[in-house]
Amino acid sequence: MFTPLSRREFLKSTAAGAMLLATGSLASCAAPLAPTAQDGAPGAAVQVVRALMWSNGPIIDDNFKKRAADFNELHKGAIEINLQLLPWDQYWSKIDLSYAARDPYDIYFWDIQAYGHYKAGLLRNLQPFVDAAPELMDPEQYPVALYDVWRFDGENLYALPENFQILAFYYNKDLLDQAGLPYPDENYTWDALIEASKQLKQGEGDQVTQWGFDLGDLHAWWGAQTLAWAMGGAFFDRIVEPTRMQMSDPPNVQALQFLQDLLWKDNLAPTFSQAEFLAPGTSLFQAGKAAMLVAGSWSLSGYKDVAFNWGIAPLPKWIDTRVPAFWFGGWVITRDSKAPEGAFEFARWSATDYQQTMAVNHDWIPLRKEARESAAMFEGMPDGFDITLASIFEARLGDVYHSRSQELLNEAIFPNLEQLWANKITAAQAAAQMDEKGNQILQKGA
Amino acid sequence: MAEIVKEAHLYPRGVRPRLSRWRRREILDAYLFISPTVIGLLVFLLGPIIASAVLSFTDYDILTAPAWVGLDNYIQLFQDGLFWQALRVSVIYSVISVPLGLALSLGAALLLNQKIRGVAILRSIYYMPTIISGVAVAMLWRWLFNAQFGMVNILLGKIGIRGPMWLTDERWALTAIIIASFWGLGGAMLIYLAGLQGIPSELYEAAEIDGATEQAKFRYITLPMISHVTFFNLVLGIIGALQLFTDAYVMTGGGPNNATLFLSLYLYRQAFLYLKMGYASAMAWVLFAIVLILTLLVFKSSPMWVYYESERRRAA
Repeated sequence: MFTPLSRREFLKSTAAGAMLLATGSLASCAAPLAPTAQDGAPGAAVQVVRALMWSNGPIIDDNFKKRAADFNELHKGAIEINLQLLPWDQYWSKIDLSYAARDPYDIYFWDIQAYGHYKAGLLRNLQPFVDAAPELMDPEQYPVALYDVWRFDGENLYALPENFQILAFYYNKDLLDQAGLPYPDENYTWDALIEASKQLKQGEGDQVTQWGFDLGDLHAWWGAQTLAWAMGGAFFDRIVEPTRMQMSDPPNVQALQFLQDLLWKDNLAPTFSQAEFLAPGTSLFQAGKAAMLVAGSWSLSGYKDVAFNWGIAPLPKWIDTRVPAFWFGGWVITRDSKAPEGAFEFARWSATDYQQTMAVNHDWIPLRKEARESAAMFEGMPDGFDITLASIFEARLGDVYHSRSQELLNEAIFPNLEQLWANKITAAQAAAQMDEKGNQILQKGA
Repeated sequence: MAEIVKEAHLYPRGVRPRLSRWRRREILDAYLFISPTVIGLLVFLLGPIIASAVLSFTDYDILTAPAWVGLDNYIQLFQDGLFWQALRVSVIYSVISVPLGLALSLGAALLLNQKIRGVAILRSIYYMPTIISGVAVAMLWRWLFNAQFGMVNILLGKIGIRGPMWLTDERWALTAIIIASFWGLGGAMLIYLAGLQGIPSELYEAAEIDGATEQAKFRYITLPMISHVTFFNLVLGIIGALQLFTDAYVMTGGGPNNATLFLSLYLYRQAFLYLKMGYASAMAWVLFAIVLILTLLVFKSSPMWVYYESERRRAA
């Protein structure tokens, strides 16, 4: 017989229903997103590898899709890579959520956020795989001496590099020719740069129509640090797991003050607002309004279609020292990957067989010497590209690996550099404030 | 439903009435209709609320299991300089934008309460901005406040004023966000308009017979008669202001130099950038406590300044 439902009973049953619904949702979250495909020869299982990379615009994205398609074609019946591309602002959230849902991707592209995953024990030690693929450690082909930064525990590789980027010095040949100045080369110095900047600058105050030099990526902490390195300093006591931020060390303060003076005292480089005023929505260099610029090698493709002749060189030397910054691009494999062998094969193939295609595409700089120094790599590249690439052997990693690196950058470094470049505080004040806040964060531990 | 409750009182305690089939069907239908809301409330609101309360006592980075830390997050919060900065920014914003917003929306409502031709169209035009989503509006304001090409500085330039670097100058960034907040005045204005139209016209007629000026009528009739509307808009305004996120996130990202670091933005940073879910949960509960205290204060003070005609009638 039907009995009326009391409110209490209703709420009880609703709560139970909600629990069931929630449990169902969680269960569905925990279910594998991509089931292992059974394909190819009867009985042979295809390893399905779920890979994630951030989006870099249509051209590079298409190259990545093509890379995955080529890999799948070559490994048909054995490995199938499912590559997903996500915008940068969703990339790390997606990875963190996949870990939280206990259904991580098999492989994804490295950046400093992944160091937190290593610290949480979520990344796979790749050393056994690397040991089984000795061609990856051929010092004739790869800058293996630089790989140590990715041996987080001091012994084993936790990420496999496949490409690199380097901080470089761009120059506008036409403007230098007009001023009768020589092109920068591997022996170019900051003194020469300052003299050239004086000659190249046209106009004064708000009426400047052309700048000799734009700080560009020297505004970033990792850019400014290259000058501090050359002066004998370093912003952290070490790159991996720093224990101390040491911005107040004299060479670091000197480097920051030197850059600030270029903007505000010597007026040889534009402030943000001056740059925005002269070349709104683009960079001064790209607009032909600055003759020289410090920027990463990732800017190479962006300058291909500019209406002037240009070249590239290693960073200028401070007296006789130059220490550029470099960055590795590469892959990490998750500890709980269901297809670690297939995932590593993709990383290995990308770092070996695919390197020549990378050189042809010009989207990344391949690590393998054979590809890096191939004719295809140099085709269409500006003068000085070879000496710029060679400067990687003088370079240090332009990152800091700490599980609190995001907090360190957002809370300690960005706000103070912002004030420094706006001439609100001196380099010594900025350094002291960065040290105070930064060391508080570092002392909280990993 | 009310009838059932009434009928229930006719039976001795513990004895359930036998209901007709259609009545039972009606009850079931009612429960079915409200069940999506109740289930949604339990799963998507009550559940996360309880979870955040528990998480606020843990160290939780979503990658590894939460670790119990007791009151550490709350203690750390009160020692965190940026939390105080965020609180300062949120309070300054609320103190300026809420009263100013109320005054402007009341002013607009008074103008739109006039008996003029085309007033219905004007009301629609004034209300229209509120229906556009937050991110789109914030993007729009970001362009309007662009130092070189923004409409605001171009217009200032027309009258000989060199506009500031609104969003990149820490002295002006918060002001810019306060100005942008007035975009959504239409909601409060509409409620004021409804309140104004509910004022009996005989009150004004009587005042006119007594020789009251326009100012006196506004002060002694209009303001008291819409004080309950002001109360409502004030409570919602305070809650909204202390939770402001979108404008700051899109327009300034909390900068320059944390000049627009609102509490909810700092909370977001801690939770989703640094994955400090426990700390962010503690911050959310502190924010909730602040909102609750302020709301209670407004409620407590309301007998002193809010006039309800129904209470007067009861008292009479």
